[in-house]
Amino acid sequence: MKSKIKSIFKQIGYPNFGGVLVSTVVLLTIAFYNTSPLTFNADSAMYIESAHRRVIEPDRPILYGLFIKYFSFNTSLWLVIIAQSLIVSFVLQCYFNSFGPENNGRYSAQKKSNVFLIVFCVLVSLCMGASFQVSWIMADIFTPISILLMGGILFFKNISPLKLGVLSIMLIFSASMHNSNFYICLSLIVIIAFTFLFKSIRKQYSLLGFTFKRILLAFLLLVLSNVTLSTIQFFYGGEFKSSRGGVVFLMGNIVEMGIIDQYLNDQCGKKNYELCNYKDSIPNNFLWDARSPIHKTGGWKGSEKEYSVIIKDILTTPKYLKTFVFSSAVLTLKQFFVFETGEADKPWRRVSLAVRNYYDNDFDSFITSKQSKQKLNFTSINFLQNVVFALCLFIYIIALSSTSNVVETRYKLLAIYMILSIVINAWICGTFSGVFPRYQSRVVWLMPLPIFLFVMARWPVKSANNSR
Amino acid sequence: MSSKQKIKEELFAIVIGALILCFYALNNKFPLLFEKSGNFIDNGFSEKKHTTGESLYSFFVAHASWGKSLWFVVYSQSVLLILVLYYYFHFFIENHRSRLIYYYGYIFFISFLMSASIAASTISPIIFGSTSLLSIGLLFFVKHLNFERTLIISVIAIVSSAMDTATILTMALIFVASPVIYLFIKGEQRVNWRTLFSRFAIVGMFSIALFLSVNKVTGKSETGFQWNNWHAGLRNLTVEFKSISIPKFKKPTVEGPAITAVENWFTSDIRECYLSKQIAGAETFDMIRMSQWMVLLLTTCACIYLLIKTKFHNNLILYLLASLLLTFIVRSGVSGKLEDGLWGFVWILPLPLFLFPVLPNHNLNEK
Repeated sequence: MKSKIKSIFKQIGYPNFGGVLVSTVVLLTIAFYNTSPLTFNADSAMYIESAHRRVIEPDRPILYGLFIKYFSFNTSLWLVIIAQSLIVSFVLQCYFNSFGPENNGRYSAQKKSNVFLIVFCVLVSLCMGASFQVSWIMADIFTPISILLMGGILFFKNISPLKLGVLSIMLIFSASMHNSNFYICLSLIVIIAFTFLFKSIRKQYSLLGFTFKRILLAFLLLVLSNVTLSTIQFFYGGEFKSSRGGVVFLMGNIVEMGIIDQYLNDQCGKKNYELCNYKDSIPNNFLWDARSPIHKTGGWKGSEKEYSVIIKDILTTPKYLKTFVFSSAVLTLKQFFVFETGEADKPWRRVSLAVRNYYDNDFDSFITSKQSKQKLNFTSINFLQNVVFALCLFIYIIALSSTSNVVETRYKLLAIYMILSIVINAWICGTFSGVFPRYQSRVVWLMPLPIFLFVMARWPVKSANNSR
Repeated sequence: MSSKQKIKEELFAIVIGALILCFYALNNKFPLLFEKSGNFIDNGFSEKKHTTGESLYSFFVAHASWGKSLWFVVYSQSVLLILVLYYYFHFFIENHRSRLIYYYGYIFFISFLMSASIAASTISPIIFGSTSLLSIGLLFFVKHLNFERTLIISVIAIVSSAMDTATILTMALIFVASPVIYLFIKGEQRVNWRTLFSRFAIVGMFSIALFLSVNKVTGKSETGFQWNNWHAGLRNLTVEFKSISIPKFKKPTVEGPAITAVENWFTSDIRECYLSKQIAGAETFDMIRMSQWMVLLLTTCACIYLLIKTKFHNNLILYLLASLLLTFIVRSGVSGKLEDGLWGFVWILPLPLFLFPVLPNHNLNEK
């Protein structure tokens, strides 16, 4: 029986299928436990509604809404999270195949990749936030997907044109799912391109077969992603514009940094800003507080012009710029270390209504889910996540500071890429939006990946004869 | 590896180590506060001598913050502690590579499984209690110290010992008990008694002088220590035992001293402070509290096992156990408050276990 299954897998030419399927199921653990896909505040509802009502929200792109609409087949939100899980499993498996031993069609090598993929998924699902992210109706899962896809496009060795094509298309769409994805990927490209200026690094790259062409390709894909999103938004009645709400998000963070109080105190006598009327009553939660001046000065769209002027003035005045840079550094550090998973409080009424209106089949299970009954507790997972994070950071520091050749350059490079992407994610989210655990918990589970790939490469493979 | 490269790695280890020690402050989005943290901030900026015995810490807060941000305070106190910890690994482990591995291992261990990071992330002098114990330990065990290192370690020992009443008393008791401890120290680690005496005389004298010069010492103090009623505090022994457990970091009240002080002296930090997890009432240390107890239990067993097996030759274990016992007694008498308790110290106990694999005299068969 076992050999029959093996031969079937070989015949269909895709022996990875089993690994992807099992890891897809493993990554959905939290959703199964909750008995329904998880939702977040009003955000999940906004995504669901935007596509169904063909409305472009002022603070987020429509693409994830469309993803929900089309991948749910207007039937069930379960299909959405299954699709998310499949995508994550597929991309992860590309890594396990590419960084694993040369399999040459050997079943044992393939099996090893699959086993490591599944063990990795079990670890990041039960001890970290991966399963939560996958099981969530939120665009956040597309941030680690974008990082992984870009890493794949840049670093995969001997990648076939077909695979490169698939990964490229996936990157175009995943980078457009959330406002931050494009900037994270762009920052990564800029930094990596910058390293090409150094001869010693260039030499290392060439030994690994990593060329500047790949950087150009990734950059092109990002431009395409931006154009695609702008076109889609235009098609749905919006402007030909991809990123949305950036100025308002940054303004919200300038309030949190405490710069706005000082700025308004200095400038309100000289300049006639509408915000000056509310300078003594600006709440800490500038973006979402019902009493926030943003609702009195024209909303997200109406306030954008004035906020742009204020931000420009702040960023070009040395006095405020100094505070901004310092705060940005502190916020990046804070965001790097704030990565608790499990922001799934009792669903808001708006979410319940959206599920009832558009996914009536799911409504009963949604209402009786653990999240709706507030029975979800992530204390243990968060503690384990802290421990795994510490362990990974420890291994990274030791491995990257080592001058010996125990860890091959390829794995070191991947580890640097992962840590860099996690730091950039912290910087972009912390500085331009605010420090929230969900921003970092969406990517922190990528940390064990290079370690797993390294261990897998070192793990002995049974010889072809033995495996038969 | 060139010496330049080594220095770079050492500097990196200190910077990163201090950052890791600030984990709980960063994770909380603001340094952790007790209500009395507000008193330290206020006293520091008002530049008056106070009777609380913690004036030096108040000055430290005022100066280390540069009057700008409390983040500088937690990072500075972490740097001082990490420097002392790094010296342990530097002096006890010869091989540079192994030294860094054990050092990082220990820092991550005490930060994520024990309370070291919580203590370092709090605006409270408690972290200086362990800095003081550890720096005195270095003076005990490190035979050949050059002038610069002697100076650095002595200054850290002096400053950290004078930070509060309980710490200076513990230091004094360690010095009084040092001849007894010295008798137990055997083998190569034994420092010449003249050297030891001169080290202790300098540190003891300067720290007591510093303590007395910055504090207004009266018969009765406003909080904690009472000179003429110290024995009454011994009743607090049971409270002190409970204080091994990490205390609850309650949500500071808006009108309370902590928030008011931040509002008065760190205007630009106040929004950050309001957005912290502690203020939102979301800061819980349940899991790390449990993990600290488990680690402590295992560590104590391991230490006792090593002590018996190595026939009391493991001097560092003996010193740390003795100093923790003295801390326990002194803090029961002086404070008896959970937040000043042993929870901020017990993480030093696993240190010998991280040094043990490479300690020169760890021969398990020696009987």
